[in-house]
Amino acid sequence: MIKEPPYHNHFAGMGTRFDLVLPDTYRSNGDEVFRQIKVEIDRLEKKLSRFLPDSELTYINQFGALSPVKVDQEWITILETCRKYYISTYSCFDVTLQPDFGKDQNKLSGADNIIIDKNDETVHFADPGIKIDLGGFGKGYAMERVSDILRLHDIKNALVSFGESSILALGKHPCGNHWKIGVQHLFRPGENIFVFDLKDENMSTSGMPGKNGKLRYRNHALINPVNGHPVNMLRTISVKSRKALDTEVLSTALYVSPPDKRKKILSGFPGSEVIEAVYTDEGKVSILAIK
Amino acid sequence: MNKSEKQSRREFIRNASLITGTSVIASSLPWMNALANENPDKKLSPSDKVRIGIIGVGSRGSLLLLHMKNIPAIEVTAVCDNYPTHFARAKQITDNRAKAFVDYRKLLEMNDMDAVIIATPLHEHAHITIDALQSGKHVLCEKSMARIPEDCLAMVNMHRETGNILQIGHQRMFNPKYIKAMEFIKAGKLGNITQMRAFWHRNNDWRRAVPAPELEKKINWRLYKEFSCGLMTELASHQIQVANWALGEFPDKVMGAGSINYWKDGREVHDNVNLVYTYPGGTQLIYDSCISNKHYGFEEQIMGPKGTMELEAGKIYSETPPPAPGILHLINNIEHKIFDAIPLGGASWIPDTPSKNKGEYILAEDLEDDGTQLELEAFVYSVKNNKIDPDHIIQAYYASIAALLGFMAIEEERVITIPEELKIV
Repeated sequence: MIKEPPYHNHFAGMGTRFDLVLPDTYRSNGDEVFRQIKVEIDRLEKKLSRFLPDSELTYINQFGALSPVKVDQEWITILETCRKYYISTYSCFDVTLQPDFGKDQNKLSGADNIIIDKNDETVHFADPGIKIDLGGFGKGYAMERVSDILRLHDIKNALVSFGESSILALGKHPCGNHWKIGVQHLFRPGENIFVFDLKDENMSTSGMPGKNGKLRYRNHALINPVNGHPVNMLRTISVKSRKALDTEVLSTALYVSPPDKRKKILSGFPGSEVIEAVYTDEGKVSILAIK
Repeated sequence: MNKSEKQSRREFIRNASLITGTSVIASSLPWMNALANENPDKKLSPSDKVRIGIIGVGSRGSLLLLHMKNIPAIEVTAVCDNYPTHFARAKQITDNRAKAFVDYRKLLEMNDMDAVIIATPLHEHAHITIDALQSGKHVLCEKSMARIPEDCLAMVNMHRETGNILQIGHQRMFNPKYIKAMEFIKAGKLGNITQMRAFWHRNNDWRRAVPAPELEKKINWRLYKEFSCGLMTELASHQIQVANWALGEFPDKVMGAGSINYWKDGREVHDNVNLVYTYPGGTQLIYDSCISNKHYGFEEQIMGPKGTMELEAGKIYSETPPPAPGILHLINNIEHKIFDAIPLGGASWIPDTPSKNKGEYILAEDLEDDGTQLELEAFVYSVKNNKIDPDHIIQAYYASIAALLGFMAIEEERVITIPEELKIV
């Protein structure tokens, strides 16, 4: 028996869950696309994860400060892209972190401390104290690969969610001309605080997961790379944009950036739409568009 | 049992029949389908009834008698026990309507009897079962099958030689929750099973009150090696059966250790046992039981790369997180042609830690008892139709053999491999 559309499947990957919905694809084709996506995301996780003990990134982090580490072309591209974003966000998007900084040790590192040698295909840390963390980059990068796979299979309409913080909406909902995707209330899942219309576009939300009026992970703060302070967590930034990576990077950068830098940062990402939701401790929310 | 209880019970069976799927019902669980369609108010003619004698009316036997009172298709025609207190109780439960015997051989001489239920101490199962099968009676014998492996084999051989039914009291095999769980496992919901754990913990001395010292071994037969292998035959065999059933294999090797470390009251069997069973495909069952702590209770845990099952709790836990709720909302909308904003976007979802993963119930509704009444109803069905699933005895046999070999492994402090002559197909 042929299972009628919509096709849906999901798996656990990159520390979260991945959902694929193909509204007008039959199961056999859907399964084929899904398998390819899963293989690609598994591959990327083994490459980019800071948490897997045998990932390529773990190796780079372990030896990058000692001597240049030989890497493949994809790593060169990834790290150069991170460098470009570091510059275009006025250093608010920074994939380097200082694992041993404490309360009074807000020493800054900066992505420019990653020395990339394109000819030798090596990476080297200029500052021995740094490590690379692709947390704000990996899902966006993976989403671009997902988008490639979908296009390769000539899939025109798709809704992809990567941990709900990264969403790709290809084409349209079967009953509309686009997709209508809501941003959920931080403490009250299922309640939309804002709706984006998406067509061949991405959406990304930065913030900390909440539950029942409480933040779930108070100690998982995002760090402002400019001054090293943890940022206020009772807010989310949601971005809509054409490119998955832009969307991901911009939401992360705007989440940690000081207000006076926002306009400058945003000017480097024309066509993006950004909203900020600010919550009170009681869960009252105010929405403002960032322009 | 009043009428509304009967109906809800029948509804339960019917619902369970529906969810276990018709293909399964048709092949291996015909009794369930029959029960679902049974009319509880129908007056049964004597020819519709199964005439049963019960041998051994101690704690288990009297519980079975009480259950049988709830089953209209059973007529208890005889009871038998050689301990006066139990003999009197059996007569009382049956309102003196059943013939009462002290010697089971006399009971087996009755011609107006279709089947017997044997709930004696373990060491008496084999010869009574064999005599009963030879006398033309169908048999439901309590687990474990026998005190020594050779007797278990002799019981199987006599069952096959006479063609009379031999059912063993592994009631979980008749519990819809377990049947559904096995269906999930066979469908690959856990992936290939890679690890199994089971345990049964109680905190009591496992003794029955003895009116006179000379009755100690008769009453507390579970505590003496001559009559029982203690925790292995009385508790573990149930759970080993479940593990074998889940894996679809039988263990061929066992190692173990046990001791009497708390109830040092003259008993001979261990008050704690710890074993590792190895199956041909390389999966292990880790088993332990003790009677000096009840905190962890009892459970069978079946694990595979895709998920975990806790069968006593009736729960299944997926290794894969559930899809995002917003995605399910979206799929529902697409299926109903609704174009609406779905709540999806948010801060990155992080999986629950294992302790927060509450799992899902295998069956929405559970049985009130542990399957004992269903096991009796299934037996009635088999007797009426003179047919039983041939796999049943194989399952029961290997559960008993595994329990007995486990006991030997502990006693002899060595790894025991099942001998070729004890293997059956």
